[in-house]
Amino acid sequence: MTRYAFSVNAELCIGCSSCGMACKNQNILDPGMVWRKLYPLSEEIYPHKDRAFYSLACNHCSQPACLEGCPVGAYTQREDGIVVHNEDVCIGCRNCLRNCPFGAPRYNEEEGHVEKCSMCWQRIDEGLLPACVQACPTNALTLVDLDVDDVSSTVQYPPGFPYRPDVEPSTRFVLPVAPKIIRRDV
Amino acid sequence: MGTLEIPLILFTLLTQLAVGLAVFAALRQWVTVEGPSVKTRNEWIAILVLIGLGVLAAFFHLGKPLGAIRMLANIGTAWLSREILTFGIFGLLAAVSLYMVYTKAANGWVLKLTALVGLLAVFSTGMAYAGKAMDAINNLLPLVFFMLTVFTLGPAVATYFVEEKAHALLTSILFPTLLTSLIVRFVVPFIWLSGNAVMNATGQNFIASPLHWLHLAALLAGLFFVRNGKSIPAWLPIVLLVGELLGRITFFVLVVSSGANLGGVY
Repeated sequence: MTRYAFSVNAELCIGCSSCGMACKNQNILDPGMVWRKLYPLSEEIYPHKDRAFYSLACNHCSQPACLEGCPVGAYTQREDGIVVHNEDVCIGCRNCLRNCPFGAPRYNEEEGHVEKCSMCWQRIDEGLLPACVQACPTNALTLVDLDVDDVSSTVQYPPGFPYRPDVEPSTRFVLPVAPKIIRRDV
Repeated sequence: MGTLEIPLILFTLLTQLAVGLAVFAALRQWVTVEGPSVKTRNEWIAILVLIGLGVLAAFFHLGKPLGAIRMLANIGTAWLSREILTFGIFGLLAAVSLYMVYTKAANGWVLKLTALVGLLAVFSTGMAYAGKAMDAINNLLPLVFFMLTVFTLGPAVATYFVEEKAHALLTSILFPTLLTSLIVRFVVPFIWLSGNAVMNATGQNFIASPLHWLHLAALLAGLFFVRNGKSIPAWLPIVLLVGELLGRITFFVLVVSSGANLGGVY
């Protein structure tokens, strides 16, 4: 079996937003629409001068609340775990926005439907990486197979991310390491 | 924070008022064996008009209103589908009830069934709005709030459709409902303060909102004027309706989604 998931390494992420830009380009998103976004960790979580980030999009949950609550069945889940949203079926009721604890679905006012990250399943089916993963210059964002890859050193619910075992988000995180402070006595 | 979803505010409020009227129409039929009258007919017409206006308002919420019929596609798991189904049945039963009242063949069991289905529809609404993204209301609170609206507006607005002698029955229900509503709506935001960051932010939003306190003031006014248990002033249902409208605005606008705090402490 295969169970695809994003892995976000906050130690490697430099906050360049290449992932979000690649996502916009690949999916030809309308102006103002964002499927992947960088979230800086608050100072309570990462109290240092340099910042740390989580690059987040849909978490392709094992128990997707969006899918469960959608009245028109616009969401489906593939065998490899990818949660696919069909914009042609969606009627723009936005119930998924009320249900997703991670704010992944976005409403497109112009088109009258919801949109979200598809994990670039068309690219994956062609043996390619999702656009965001391919564009990441530091390998902070990677694609992992939870059934095959060793993710034992990663975290599912890090600080700054909702603890929601009821929906089982697939995204895994590597936490940022506190910067080394070097002092020289004068 | 949420957005000012005027169509949804109107849909939930008007349909809950319709259910409230249906419940108390059935109750009066049961308790007082009230015969069909012009006022009763008008009440059922009002119920149907309220359902119609509520459903019409809901269409304006949809990005693609022409696909609304597909909302019945996921009854297996989606409370929103169940809400639409039960409100559809409620509307049909309300039309049957009006026909029976109009032809003076009112059947108490049909009226009671209509009221029961209406309450089931509000139950579905309560479950549909307990969104998993909204930590503060991802529980039974939407159901409690909506039922309090049903049992506040139902007896209050029903006073327009009954003789004054029936007011005592309505006030005997309205007084405890107003008291319960006032206590629940006052206490809940302070309980939210003890929750996680998202619930805390929701509680702070409510406590800082003039709309929330105006809602409570309307409930307090209602409590004051129905305390003698005899009659309900003609202006009071309007005050209570405005109060519930303000409360519904706060419900949709002030509840914070957990996705709004990504990167922050939860």
